[in-house]
Amino acid sequence: MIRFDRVSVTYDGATAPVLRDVELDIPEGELCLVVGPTGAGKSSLLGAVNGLVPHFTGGTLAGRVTVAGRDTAHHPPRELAELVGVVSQDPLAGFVTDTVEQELAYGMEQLAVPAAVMRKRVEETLDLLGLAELRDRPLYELSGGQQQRVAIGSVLTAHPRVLVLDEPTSALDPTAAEEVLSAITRLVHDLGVTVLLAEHRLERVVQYADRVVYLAGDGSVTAGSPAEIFRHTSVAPPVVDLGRLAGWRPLPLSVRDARRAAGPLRAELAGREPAENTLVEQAESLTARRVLVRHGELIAVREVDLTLRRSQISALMGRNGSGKSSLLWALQGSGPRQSGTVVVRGTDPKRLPVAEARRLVGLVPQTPTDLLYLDTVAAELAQADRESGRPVGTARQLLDRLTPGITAELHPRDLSAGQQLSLVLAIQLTALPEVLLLDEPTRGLDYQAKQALLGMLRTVAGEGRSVLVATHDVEFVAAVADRVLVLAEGELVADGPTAQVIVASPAFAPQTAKILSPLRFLTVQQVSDALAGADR
Amino acid sequence: MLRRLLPVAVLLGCSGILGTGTASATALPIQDCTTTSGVIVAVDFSHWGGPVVRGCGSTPTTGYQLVNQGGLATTGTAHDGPGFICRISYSGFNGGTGEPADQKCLTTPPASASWSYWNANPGQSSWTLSPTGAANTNPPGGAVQAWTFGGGSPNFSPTSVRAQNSSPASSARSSSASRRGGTSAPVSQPVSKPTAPGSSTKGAAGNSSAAGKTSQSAGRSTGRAGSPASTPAASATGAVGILTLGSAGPTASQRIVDAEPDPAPHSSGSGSYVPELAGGAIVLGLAGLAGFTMWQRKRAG
Amino acid sequence: MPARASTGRRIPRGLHPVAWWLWAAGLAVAVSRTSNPLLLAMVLAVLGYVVSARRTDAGWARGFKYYLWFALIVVAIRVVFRSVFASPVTPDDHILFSLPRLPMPGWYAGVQLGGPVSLEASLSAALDGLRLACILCCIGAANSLANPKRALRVLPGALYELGVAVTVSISVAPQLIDSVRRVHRARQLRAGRRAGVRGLRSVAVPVLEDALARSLQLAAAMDSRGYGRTGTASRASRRLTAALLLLGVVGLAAGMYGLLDNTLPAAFGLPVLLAGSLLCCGGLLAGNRRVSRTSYRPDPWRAPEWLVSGSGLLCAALLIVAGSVAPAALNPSLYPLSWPPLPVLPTIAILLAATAGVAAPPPPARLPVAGRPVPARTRVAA
Repeated sequence: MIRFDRVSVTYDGATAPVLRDVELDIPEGELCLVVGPTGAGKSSLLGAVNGLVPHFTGGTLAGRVTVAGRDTAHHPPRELAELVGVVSQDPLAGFVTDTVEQELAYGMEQLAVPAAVMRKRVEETLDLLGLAELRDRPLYELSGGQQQRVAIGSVLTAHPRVLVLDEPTSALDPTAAEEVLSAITRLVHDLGVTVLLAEHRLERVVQYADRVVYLAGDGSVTAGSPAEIFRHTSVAPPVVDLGRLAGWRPLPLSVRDARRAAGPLRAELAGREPAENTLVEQAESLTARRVLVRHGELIAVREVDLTLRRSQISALMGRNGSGKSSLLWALQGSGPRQSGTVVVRGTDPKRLPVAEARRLVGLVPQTPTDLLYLDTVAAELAQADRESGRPVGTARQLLDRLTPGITAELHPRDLSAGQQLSLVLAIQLTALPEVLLLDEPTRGLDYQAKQALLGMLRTVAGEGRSVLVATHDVEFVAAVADRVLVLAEGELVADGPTAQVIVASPAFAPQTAKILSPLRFLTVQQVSDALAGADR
Repeated sequence: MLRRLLPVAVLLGCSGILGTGTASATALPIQDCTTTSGVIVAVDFSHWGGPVVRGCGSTPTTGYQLVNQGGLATTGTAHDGPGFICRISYSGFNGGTGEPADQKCLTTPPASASWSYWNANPGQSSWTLSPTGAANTNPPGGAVQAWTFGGGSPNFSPTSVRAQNSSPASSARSSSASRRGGTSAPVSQPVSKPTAPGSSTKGAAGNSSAAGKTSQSAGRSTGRAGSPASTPAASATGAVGILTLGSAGPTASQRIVDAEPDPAPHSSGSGSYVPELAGGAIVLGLAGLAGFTMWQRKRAG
Repeated sequence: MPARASTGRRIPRGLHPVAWWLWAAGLAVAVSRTSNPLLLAMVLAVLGYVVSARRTDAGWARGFKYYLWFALIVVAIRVVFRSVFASPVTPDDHILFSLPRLPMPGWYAGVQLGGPVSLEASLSAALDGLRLACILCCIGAANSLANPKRALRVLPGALYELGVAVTVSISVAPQLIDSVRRVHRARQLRAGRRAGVRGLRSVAVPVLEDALARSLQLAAAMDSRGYGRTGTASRASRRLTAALLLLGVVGLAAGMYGLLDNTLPAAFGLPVLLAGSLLCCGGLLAGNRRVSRTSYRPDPWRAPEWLVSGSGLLCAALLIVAGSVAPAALNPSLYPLSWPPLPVLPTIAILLAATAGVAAPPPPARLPVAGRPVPARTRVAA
């Protein structure tokens, strides 16, 4: 179905090719997972299937890419529209019309499908993806998962043979991600569509993959069955990590398979307890009482009581729309807070001028790039020094401690997502705040970047500050947080040590916990520490 | 009268002493304009075969007032208001219909079809296009103003229409300036130009209707019986004097006609406010319907 | 005829957008013919009634009140300008007050600042402004009644790309507003509000970069979905279409200029205009022959559409006729100041346009949503 014949892709102005001599053959009806660290060229590979690379993005493509016999060199993307459907990370940016039904029909209109056929196909697609009751809704009113499904539906109505998805679940909470992934697997198994999927968060999707294409980052590409490829990749979900650590053969990819193979490991770890961060009662740094945040008619945060302690990393979890962002902004003092008190170091940050409030509570927002507006990294850091009233070079030192190797002359928008996050983190930390709040920092980060973020947060907490991270990512929470708070419908429903809260419900449990339950190991690191401790 | 002033009554307090802003400008007989006092305005109707009408006004005055007194009247456009001179009429020419008669005067006419306004201050021997509009120009004493149609400069010189006398010719006639009344009958004094005696008689014949009126009005105004006789001589000498100065005189087909000072009657505005009540009722009815519909929708949805 | 249910109520549906635009255009032409304040107020009331009766509940349909505010601003600006830039004061004027006169240099003497402000001048400016405001409100009503995006879908094939460009740019505005709000909030995290160019830059740069990135994503998505397919058209036929359209538009512009400018000979205006429109039609026909795209559930054109567009166009025609029959009533003179009249024919014409509020079918109601909607905009906040 898709064939890459010695394909090399070089962008304008780049010294090295992004993809080098790629040979790939993907047969029909397979779910093919494309994995690799950030910057390895996953987007370029996916773009080449459609012809977006090089017709739209520019650059040079050497070699041949054929989809169902058609060569992308002679067919620009619009000519391949009835063969290949492309869904991107941000579905809202790709919508052309106003409502769900019109969006589903738009692709068919461009392909001059007769009107009767269009009506039928729209109804079928609505049923297939479970969108039937949403047909008249405006697109901006839908939740993230629903939007992603509409985006898939809008390319599906053209009945393509190949579906290309570039990180479809990165912006979604676990439930929505499940919906999207089950829709995709249904397409593969029921309709025989060939699906090419690039993902960072592999935990849920790796069990469905028929084939894995691994990009190492040096331009080379290896393809094969998941069990073979994941033995040697640098990015791996926890189940694969555990499998590699325990030496299971063949490598289990799902929790069920791993549990079957985990018997001996469970026996081995039977008596041991994971090294948990004991919740030493530190001094309070932030106290919030009965915080109420209202957006017009909607009550986002309903009288929440919250205490943050020094040197502790807390995680705030909850589905999209539960009020996490509103709570963080209200705690920082810049967001609306209709009633309640927030006290940091004896003062309410809302009453202070902005420059002072920054020194008490620092917030890294959901889109960190909103804070960047200068031309170079060096300019941003200098500006941060000036704003925080710190001596010149403070920000630069912070950035180097968090993520070394960012050249000063780069434009901030040219950095990778992880680098942008560390830049903004450094800018906010220059003010040396007591409390650091992060709103969904793990979006778009690969495993290595998440590991780096983990290290950064531990450093910050080690200096005596409190950290509160709002996130969906259970694995990340399991690795980094001492305490977990769960928010639902604006109210706190759980507040306790990590091990207690996230293991309590199956939906929230990390993969390691599910595999090794009833043992209370949360991360592969804990398992390896326990095994290493035993060996000594 | 009272109804007309009703909307203004509340606002009169604001106007205070500043009042009307217009001066006590009046029309004067042509002889009262001298080289240093009074302003002469000349309107050229030759585009329609008419004469050059000359009028005189006392200072302080504005160009607008000069061309709205003594038998001259203007019409503005609907778009720009009266300040833009769209039509000029002279009571002694074409029965007082404004020229150009076919212009609807709703929007600003193009430059080739509108009146242009020229100034010559004392001592200037050529016309300059006025930089300000008629209502905003305050000419000094002894200045001459001209209005021509079609964009070209006047083809008569300032000297040909300027006052030559250094003191008002007859003081006895100043009393006639205070005459009130509805008659706007002009006293046209055909002053023929002797370069072409034939044409002068033609001109005189062409103006026979006006001359007829002259005799009527002359009959009516007993107090001025003597003066029309004296003025032709005076102005004739003046005209002859102009001619002898030479080439810059008006051409054969042009005549200069002097306008008699005559306050233009104020047309009173009237109108009942019944249409307003009807219109207001319709508007309020529609607005009420709109409000009711919105309330119904809010209740339902 | 619109199908009637057994209870006698009509089936709600959206009217064809072109019908609403024709109605609004007719009203706008009618408004441009008059400066009678009673008639203008009546037009505003008609617009308000029809919009409140027939607009849908969608977000874009609620913007009419902003047009009314804008109209008020237009009138105020006109009056202020007329007061400041002295208009000529005739002896007939009633002076309200006098602004101090600012002397201007001789070479700029045509413009004068300050001076007496007369009631007639202010009223004339207010009426002029009211007329412009009414035309703006006609456009605003059309925007509130008909989804502009659906109106653009009826463009002929040759203009399709233009229509899509306009459609996409319409959707940019709410995204930009969203972006600005988000970035503005993020500014609080760094340094708060900063005045001047710096502060503007710190908001403008992220917003514009965001907009650029988003537009590139949109372009890639549209390209992948087949937008811009040329179908069976050859290069030569596309060039022919483009040439015909371009020449046609130039001809239209030249012909329009010739008609409006009195100095050009009469033979220039109308023939060139006709030639230009013929070329345009030729270009559109040539462009339509390409096999390009189909339309999903096109809006039908039935009796209510005829009634609505007919009422608007009839209103315009009646006012044009009234303008030649009795111009003084349509454009009452302010000198001398008197109460404006209420001419019968124009009043009937405007009330005729109001019947569109009844002739159009009731707008489709939005079904109540199961569960709480999570608007993407407040997702950022929540």
